[in-house]
Formats: sequence, structure tokens, C-alpha cells
Amino acid sequence: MKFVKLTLVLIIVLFISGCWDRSELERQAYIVAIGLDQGRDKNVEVTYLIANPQGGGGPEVGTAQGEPPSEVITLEVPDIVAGLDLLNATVPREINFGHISTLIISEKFARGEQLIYNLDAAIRERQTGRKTFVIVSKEKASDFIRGNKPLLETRANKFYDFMRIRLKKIGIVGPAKLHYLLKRTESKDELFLAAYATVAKKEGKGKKQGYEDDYLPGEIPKKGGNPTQIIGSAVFKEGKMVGRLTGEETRLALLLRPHYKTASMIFTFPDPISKGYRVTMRLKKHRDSELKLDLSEDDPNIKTTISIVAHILAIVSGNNYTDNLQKQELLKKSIEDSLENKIKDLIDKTQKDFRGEPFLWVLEARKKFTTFSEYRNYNWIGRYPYAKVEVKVEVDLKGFGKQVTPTGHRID
Amino acid sequence: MIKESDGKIGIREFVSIIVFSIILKVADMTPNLLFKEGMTATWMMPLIMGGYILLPLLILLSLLNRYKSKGLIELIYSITGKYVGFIISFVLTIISLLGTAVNLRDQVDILNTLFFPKTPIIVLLIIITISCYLIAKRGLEALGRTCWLLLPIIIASFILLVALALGEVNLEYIYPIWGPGLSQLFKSSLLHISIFGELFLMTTFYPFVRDDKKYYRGTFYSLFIIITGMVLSFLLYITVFDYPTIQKIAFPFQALSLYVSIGYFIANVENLFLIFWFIGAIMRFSIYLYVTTAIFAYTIKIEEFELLILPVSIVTIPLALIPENSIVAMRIFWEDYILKFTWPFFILLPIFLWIVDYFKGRVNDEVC
Repeated sequence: MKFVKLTLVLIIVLFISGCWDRSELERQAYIVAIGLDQGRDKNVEVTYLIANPQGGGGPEVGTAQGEPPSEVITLEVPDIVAGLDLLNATVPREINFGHISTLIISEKFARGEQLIYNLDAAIRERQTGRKTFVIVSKEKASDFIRGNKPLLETRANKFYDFMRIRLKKIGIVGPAKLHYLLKRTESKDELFLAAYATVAKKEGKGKKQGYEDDYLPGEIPKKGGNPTQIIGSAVFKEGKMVGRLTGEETRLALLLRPHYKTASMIFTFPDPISKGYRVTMRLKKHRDSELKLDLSEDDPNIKTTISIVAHILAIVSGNNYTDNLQKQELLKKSIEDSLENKIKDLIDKTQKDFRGEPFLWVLEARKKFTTFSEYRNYNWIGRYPYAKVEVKVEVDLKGFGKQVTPTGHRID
Repeated sequence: MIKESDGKIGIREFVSIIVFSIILKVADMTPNLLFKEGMTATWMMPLIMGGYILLPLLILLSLLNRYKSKGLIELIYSITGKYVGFIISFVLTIISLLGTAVNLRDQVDILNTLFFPKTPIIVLLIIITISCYLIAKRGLEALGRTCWLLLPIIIASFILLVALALGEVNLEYIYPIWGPGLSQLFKSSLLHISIFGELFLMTTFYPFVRDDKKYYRGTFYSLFIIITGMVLSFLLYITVFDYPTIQKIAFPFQALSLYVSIGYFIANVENLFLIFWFIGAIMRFSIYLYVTTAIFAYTIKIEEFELLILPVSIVTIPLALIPENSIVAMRIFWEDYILKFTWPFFILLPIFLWIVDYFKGRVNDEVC
């Protein structure tokens, strides 16, 4: 009797395995990245990057050697989700959105009004998450996805994931999650920094001298490798792209965020003694910045002090900034001045061009109000462009590598 | 030592039952209702609500203590008499039944929206109701023991979620500290105290708890666990999603489980939390079915009420199908029709009972 009961229970299990939502692993097509372009009228051109878990592998069991690692399909549809069934006109498998990790938006589309409404589709769908990495491409998103040819990774999703993790660590791209884009659009008081990228057509021709990080995508003097360049930020205000920041400006913007911490940013600074040379430093920020806001007057008063730990990595001018304490002091002063000037320019840019701040200072401002309506009535973003901002940078010279006096040190 | 079952439950089981019946509200649309009112200060609302219900709850418990071996419904009957008692008890039955149906519907809608989009709602509803019925049928003792066994697992899964979400937490999002303003906060907390209504309904089982003193202690332990759990969850939701955004998210718990990931490569962990949440939800609705049946049975004075669980379960299904979708279920049926009408009931009923009892006690002191 027990056996019969058990068998009956087990038979029931066969029927309740997912009800109508039963799905076979082999019949799924996983989309890993989505590109968005302006289509005709209110339509969008959506580019789906479909991963092929079998393709592109070596001669192991379970891989299909002849198949490419991914398939790229562009459709013109009213929104991202609307193309789900249409995709099946070409793809024989059920489309699965659960593994989308990257969203690529063309700059033209990002600057338009339509974008934020199209993201609604992306977030309403049950499987898509808010942790998606947002990239704005200079060219059409479909061209970007097709032009991206990673040489070290076979799988495109791995490339994007690794890039996101690595770029966030070194700060030339901000933490560009879809959640932040939505959150900052909804809060209205903050700017969002999306990753900015291009597939550079011309190699090796940088427009300007940007040293170690002061580039927009496509400007890096580089030869060989994957043509993709992801550096700097596309600045979003109220769900619309309003400007861009170079890699260096992005780093400074992140350093200005009171709670932002970084383990390593390689910066170069002009040598204070020998003109034309630069000193290479590794900057770390381990401590919260001090941030004081005074909102009692019409225009907010903002004072912030950023403390940075610096390590000397290279002194190509041969000046002795290591065991000569006066020169050390000189170098420190020049780094502080240099950073303060750059930050001043950046703040000017945010006040005049963007009329808003990506530094999350608004979170500090929120503490000054007791109720939400008071805070809303204050209109932070409306007042920020007129704010008086004072920034102080404090640099601690903590290390100089495993050499003391520079090689070829000029005797003073 | 193995004791023979006497049909009663101990303090552990009792606390687990109450905790299960209330705490899982943080994982349905209830936060969405509260964040609409409490804004950045929503995490304080459970504390305020706890303060509001403390006095009525104490009054009710002291009454129950006076009329020993009587549950809530029997107490109402013996204090207010046959007719008034019937009306009050009947209203309680309706509240309990509708609450069960509407919340069940919300739960099914979450499942349908996030995990089983192609499965018809009625199928999910029937499967869940059958599971709940099978558990509820085993009786209060079995319910209590199962809850006690599952409680650590549910708490552990919650702690795991907190640990995974910790990297996304920004405590600055709780400012402005008073949200909509203190008076508004107190007002909307009062309007939503029915979220804690199960605490009152559970007193139906007063005679089934082994010791009166333990009932007191158990009620306050569970209140403490529930409030702590709710405050922590709301804090977690607000500090991850921030205010205007959290209000737009229909199911914050599921959104959070979709947002976190274990390391860089295990990115989709929502199904892990689905299991725990679903087990908890099944327990919650089993308890609801059992309580509703018990209240109903005592109202119409039937002793052997466990046979009534099946009809009550069957009635729940069509009731749960009335709202067209979960917004209608939660915003209109639950919030506008049930929460906003029942809060005075839960506050005033104990006070009313106490006043009647006080004057009656004076008149015929000898009878008592």
C-alpha cells in the first residue's frame, strides 16, 4: 500500500514540474547583451547578442566546434520585449532574458526623449535585473556589438563582465548599473555616469595628448588588439544623455563622491621641476571625504576635503623626490594644486554644462531636511549650478616603490 | 522525555506560528503599500504600529487571563452575549476570510509574474490551496511543530539575503529622517495596524497554549521578532533601492533577490530565495486557513472544526479570484476595503470588551 502511495506521489511530480512554464535547457537561447538604437517613428532598433554555450569551444565533449560563440540579430520593434517572438522567426529556441548583463545604448538614442520609456520595458520584464551594466556607444549600438572583437575572450558576455569588473576598479568608468540610472532619474537630483565606448575605426591616431587617462573613447593612441575602447562617462540627467566626461574627469568625479573608495588609480602629474616630464603615481582613497554643506543661504555653500594616499611609481625626469624632503614637499604641493585645479574645472563643467552633480552630494544635503517635502521644495538640482564650492585635496606621500634615489639621478 | 500529545502547543511552537503568519508580509506587496505612505521613514512604521497595538493587546490578554480556558470567540460570546457576540465574531470571520483570500491572491500573482508567467492563475491558486489545506488539516500541533522547524531556515535565508545585499547598502538613503513628517507617519501607521491583526486573531487559540504565563511571554517574543524583522527588511529595501524608486517596485523582496548575486559569477540567485519564500508562504496560508476555520467554527459553535477546513479552503479559491490583478487585490481590496476599515476594530474591540466586562463584573460579581 505504501509503495502504491509513493508511486502515485511520484507520478504527480511529473506533472507539476513547472506547470505551463516547463522549459528545456537545450531549447533556450540566452541573450547576454542588448543594443538600443533609434528606429523609424517611435520604434527602436534592438540588437540581441545571443550566446551559444556550445560554440567556440575546443574539442571537448558537448561542444560544437563549427558553431560560432554567439549570434547577433537586429530587429526593429516597438520595444525590447516586443521582439521576443519575432526573434523566433530566425532563432529556433525559446528566448531567455535571464542572463542579460549588458545594455548598450547608442549616443544618438541616449540623447533623445525616448530612452527612459524604453528602459521601462527592460525593467518590467520578469527576468531582467537592475544590475545590468549600461554602456553608451558613440556609434550605433548594433555596429558596436558587431565591431567588438575581443581577442582574449571567446564569449562576448565574459568580455563585458570582465570589463565591467575591471573598469570599476580603476575608475575610468563609473559603477554604471541600470539601477542607478533608474534611481537617479527618479530622484531627479543626481546625475548618472554610464560607461562610454566606441569601436575605433582609425587606429593609433589620438586627437590630443591625454597622458594616462584623459581620453574619450576613440581618442586613445593605441595600435593593435580589439578595436573597442571603453573609457569615460556619458552623463545622464533626468534619463537623457546631456554630456560626456573623459576617463580622468570620471575618476575625479568618483573621487569627489564622499564615500567612494579606490585601491588604485594610476595618475601622472607634471614634474614641478623639469618641464615636460611627468611623475607617475598610484593614488588610493581609503577614507571618506569630509563634506560640509551650508544650505542656509539661497546658494548652497559646499566645502569638501579629499584625503588621498599617493605612491610614486616612476620619476622619468630623474629628480630626487624620494630622499630629498624639500623636493618631496614640492611634489606633494604640486600634486595637490594640480588635482585641485582639475577638480575646479570639472565642477565648473558640471555647474555650467550639466547643471547638476554626479558627486552624490545630494545625499549629504538630504540629511539637512527632516521631511521629504521640505527636501523636494529646496530643489537641490536647481540650486546646485549657483553653489559656491571649495575643494581641498590632501595628499599623503606614502611610498616610492623599491628604489630610493632615481636611476640616473641628476646631482643637484 | 516523550510526552503524550495533549493537543496543546508550547511557547516555541506558538511563537513560530505567529511569526510565520505576519513576518512574511515583508515579502509580498505590503512594503509597497507602506512605502507609499512612509517614504524614507517607512522602517519606523512597524515600531510605531507595535506601540499602537500594545495597549489593546494587553487589555485583551488580561481579559483572557480572567476567563481561563476560553479563546477569543468564546470570550466575546461570554462577555457580550449571544446576539452582539455573534455579530462581532461574524465580522472577525469575514475579516479573516477576506484577508486570507486577498493575500493568497497577491502571493499567487507574485509567483505568476516572476516565476510562472505562462501558467494560469487558477492552477497556481488551486495547487497552493491544496498544499495549504493538507498542512492545515494536520491540526495546530503539526502546524506549530512545522513552523518551529522551518523558522531557523527562513531566518537563515533572510540573513543570507542581508549578507549578499550588504555591498549595495547605502545608509544615507534613509534621509530625510522623518519621511512624510512625524504626524503623517503616526497617522498612516495607525491606518495600517491591521497588518498586525493576526496577533489578535491568534488569541482564538489561547486555551491551546500550555501555560497562560507562556502565552503572555510568547506574544511579546513574537511581537519582538516580527517588529525586528520588519524594521530590518524595510531598512534593507530603502537602503538598497532609495525612496522614489522603492515605491515603484511592486515586489521589493523579489526585486532584491534578483539584484544581489553571489560573487561575480553566480548572478541569478532569485530561485534560491524563491524556495525559502515559497515554503514560508505555504506555511503562512496554512495558518490563515486554520485560523479562519477556527474562528468560523467557534462563531457557529461547532467543536470539531477541523472538518471545516476543506469547505473554507474551497471558498477561498473563488474569493481569491475576484480581484482582477494584484494591484486591485492589494491596493483596493486589501488596503482600501480591509486595512482602512479594520484598524478601529482591532483597537476598539479589546477596549469595548473590557468596558462591558467591567460593568458586568460590577453588577454580578458573585457569578464570576
